Amino acid sequence: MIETKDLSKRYPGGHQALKNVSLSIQEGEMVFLTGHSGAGKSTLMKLIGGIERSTSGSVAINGTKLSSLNRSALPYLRRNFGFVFQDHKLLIDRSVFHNVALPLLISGLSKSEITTRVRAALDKVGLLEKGSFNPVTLSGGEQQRLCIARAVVNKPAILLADEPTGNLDPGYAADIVTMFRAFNRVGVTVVIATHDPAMIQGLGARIIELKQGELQA
Amino acid sequence: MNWFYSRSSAFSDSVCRLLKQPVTSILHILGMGIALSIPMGCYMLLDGADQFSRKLNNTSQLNVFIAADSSDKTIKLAEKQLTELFDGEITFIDQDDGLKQLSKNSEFSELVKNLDTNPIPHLFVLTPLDSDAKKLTDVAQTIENWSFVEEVSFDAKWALKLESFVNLSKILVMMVVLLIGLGFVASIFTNIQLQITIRKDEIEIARIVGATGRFIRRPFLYYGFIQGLLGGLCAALIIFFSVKFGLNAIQPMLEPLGFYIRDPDLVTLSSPLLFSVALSLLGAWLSSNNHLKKIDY
Ligand SMILES: Nc1ncnc2c1ncn2[C@@H]1O[C@H](COP(=O)(O)OP(=O)(O)O)[C@@H](O)[C@H]1O
Ligand SMILES: [Mg+2]
Repeated sequence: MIETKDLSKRYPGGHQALKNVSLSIQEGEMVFLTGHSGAGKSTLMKLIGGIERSTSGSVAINGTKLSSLNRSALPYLRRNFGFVFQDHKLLIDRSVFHNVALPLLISGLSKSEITTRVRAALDKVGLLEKGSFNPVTLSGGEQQRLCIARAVVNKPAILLADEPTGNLDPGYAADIVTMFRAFNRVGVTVVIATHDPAMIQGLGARIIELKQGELQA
Repeated sequence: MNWFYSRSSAFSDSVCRLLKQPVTSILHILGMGIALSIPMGCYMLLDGADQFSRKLNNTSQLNVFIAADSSDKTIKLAEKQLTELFDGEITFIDQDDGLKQLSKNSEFSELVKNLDTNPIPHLFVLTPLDSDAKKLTDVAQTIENWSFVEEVSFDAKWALKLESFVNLSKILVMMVVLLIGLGFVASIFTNIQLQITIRKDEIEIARIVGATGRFIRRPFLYYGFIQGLLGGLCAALIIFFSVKFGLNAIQPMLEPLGFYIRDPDLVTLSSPLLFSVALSLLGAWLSSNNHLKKIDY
């Protein structure tokens, strides 16, 4: 489902964040991407999700090479992904409801369908009663769950979560991991980047480790 | 319906953004309106002046005076040459008729009685068929050089000057309109750029969840459209009211002169509107395009 080949990324300014990363993730897999801070985890996620461009090498999603797509096709590819960020990236001048509705509005769904789906997504993360709240009034854990609701509302095939438990206390973090497992169980391919070994322990999921931009065997 | 929903929410979003900064928005719109109404107003004034100069040309005549002591032969020659040269109505008032007309005036009647010889020159009045002041000036210059002509008086001389002044001013106004248009695009461009900067995070999020360039551009185009529309409307109102209450007050003084400023019609009023909307859209499009390129869309 996800296939990278000799993927490299050099940021403007000269920093080599990724070096020749070749990996393959199957449909329905749950994978952890680990490594120290600065190892290139976020960079790899962004390259897979079509948010950044690689310097060399290729990313293919379901056999389609990202580099073969033109600018106008890329947004449609991104709709296959659900993104969860450590810093949430929420719209702080919109309600919780509107934050979750954004991907659906972009996809051009009708108002009634948007309402139904947003409510379902908010229900899944336990935020249904807080739809009219402003995101800044939510706790850190609630904000992270809101971010997850937005990522899954469009029923993506692939969920990319970058440090989803980053600054949450351990109890909350376990909740969130459980949530991802539930999505994975219904067929969603899940990739979680984390530098926190505690999060991965005892899950039996596949682990991919990065070190200074290179894949560790 | 879905099509309408995503657009109407982008539109109401743009309206909200304008309303959120009411003072800035009002000042900006007022600035646009004033900037537009000045050249438009100038153009309308010039249009009035243009008609005025045309009217002057219409009534303009050439008076050709032939010396009082000229022989009949000279007058015949003059008539012949004038008919050859001039295309239009030629009336001859001989010096006796001239004297008779003068003596009708009570002030001069006593004076005329005491004259031994008739000092009044003969007069040819030339009335042109068309109102081409330039052509009439050429004719006047030719006639002035004839030996038997004492004087040529030409009341259209300053009408000609007015006409060329009006034409020059129209070119100047056009240049001002062009410059203001450029300034307009630049001002909308920076305004939208500011909006984009304010909404940078939002654009990034929209991009990540799969927004197309068109989706991202849309609220900014609407924003530019609404601003252009309101700016143009403001200009139309300024023109309308200043003509209605300002110029109409001095109209009675100008009218006897034939200087007439028309009430602004729908076409006149809608032109700043179209101008403003088109340029605002252009500015917004350039600005959002510029930004989308930067974020590598
Ligand atoms: N936008 C950027 N511009 C320049 N350098 C960057 C950028 N993003 C990340 N980097 C650099 O690339 C390296 C990898 O970063 P990142 O992928 O964020 O690592 P991780 O997520 O594993 O902490 C780091 O050294 C970081 O400083
Ligand atoms: Mg990171």
